[in-house]
Amino acid sequence: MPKPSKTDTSMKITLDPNFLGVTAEDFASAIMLGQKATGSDPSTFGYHLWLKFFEADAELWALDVSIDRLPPTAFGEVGTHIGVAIAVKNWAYYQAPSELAALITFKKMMLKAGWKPSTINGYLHYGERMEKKVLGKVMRPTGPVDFSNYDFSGIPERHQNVIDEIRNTASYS
Amino acid sequence: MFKFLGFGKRKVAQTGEPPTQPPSSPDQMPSEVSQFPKMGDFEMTASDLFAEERAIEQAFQAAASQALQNGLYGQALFFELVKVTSHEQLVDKIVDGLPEWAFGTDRPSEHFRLIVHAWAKSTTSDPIGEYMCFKQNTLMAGWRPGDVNAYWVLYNLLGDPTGSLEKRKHPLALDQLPGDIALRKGEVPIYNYLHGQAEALMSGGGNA
Repeated sequence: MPKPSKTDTSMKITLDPNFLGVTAEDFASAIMLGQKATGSDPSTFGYHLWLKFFEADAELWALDVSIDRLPPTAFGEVGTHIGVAIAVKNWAYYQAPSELAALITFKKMMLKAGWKPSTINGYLHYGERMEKKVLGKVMRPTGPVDFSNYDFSGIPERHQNVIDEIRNTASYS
Repeated sequence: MFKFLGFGKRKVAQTGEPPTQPPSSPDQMPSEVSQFPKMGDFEMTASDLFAEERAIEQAFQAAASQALQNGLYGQALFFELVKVTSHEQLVDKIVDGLPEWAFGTDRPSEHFRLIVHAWAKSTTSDPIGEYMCFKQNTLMAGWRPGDVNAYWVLYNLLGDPTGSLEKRKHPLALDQLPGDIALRKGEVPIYNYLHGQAEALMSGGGNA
């Protein structure tokens, strides 16, 4: 499939406020705020729009389904840097007060790194299914992430920015 | 297994889509097999899928041929690829990356989600079987793998907050739904099929 182009701003948006479970007013506001936050880099539109609809209390399943239907240009996904996903997931699940909070935190950060919701959910679903099959349970971190165990060399800038952001959180000071 | 409660086939309404922009799109389904996507269009190879290159090529061609007959390319490609590779996560990613014409503009419906999940629970005995039954039926109805996985991740985490699945007395949970079921176009034939299967199951003659 064509790779996202940072110069392509011709995104066709087909979203439905009823499906998302938000009011027409919140719907219009979220799109406007998402576009504003996106600025000149359309590949961040998927992340910003997901965030604005989440803040407007959109239904979580409908939110992922809707954002996944944005054109490829709305995302910046570059390859599948599994080490980044592992580190971000361990960081999110160690510090979050609940499983749902951890899921939301993980998803936000991976969207920020440029992944699509379907890629994030696929990673979670198949990863946890494998853990249950092999280990009999879903693994959760028992301590802070030791970033020195990961090799992040050569990862895309947006992935690196996310790693830098979580590495600098208070939880790991 | 289920006491027959007399649930006849429900009135099904196809709900419309109110897009925020005109539905016209420059992307259209190709008219020849050679114009459909190929493995080389994706950022992965046959070896990533633990499969022979020729088998993957044939899967793409078979899906294109089917799509020219029925217009359902997304579903066809998924079911052709899982015949030749067990790396379903990558298959999901390939199919989720297809353009809109591969699926159409319909979004999945919540009613169909409950109906199919109830059916999966009624006819399978383990979580993986439940997921596979749910996925097979929803994909045949035009859902994308990403729609399925987004729901399943939330379901594994939150369970069924409404309790509809556990409280169901009908294999399709029709007793938990309103009289008028709202389904998308592609979901209707699958619902009709499952309804027939459920009737057979309740009468003791099902082969589900």
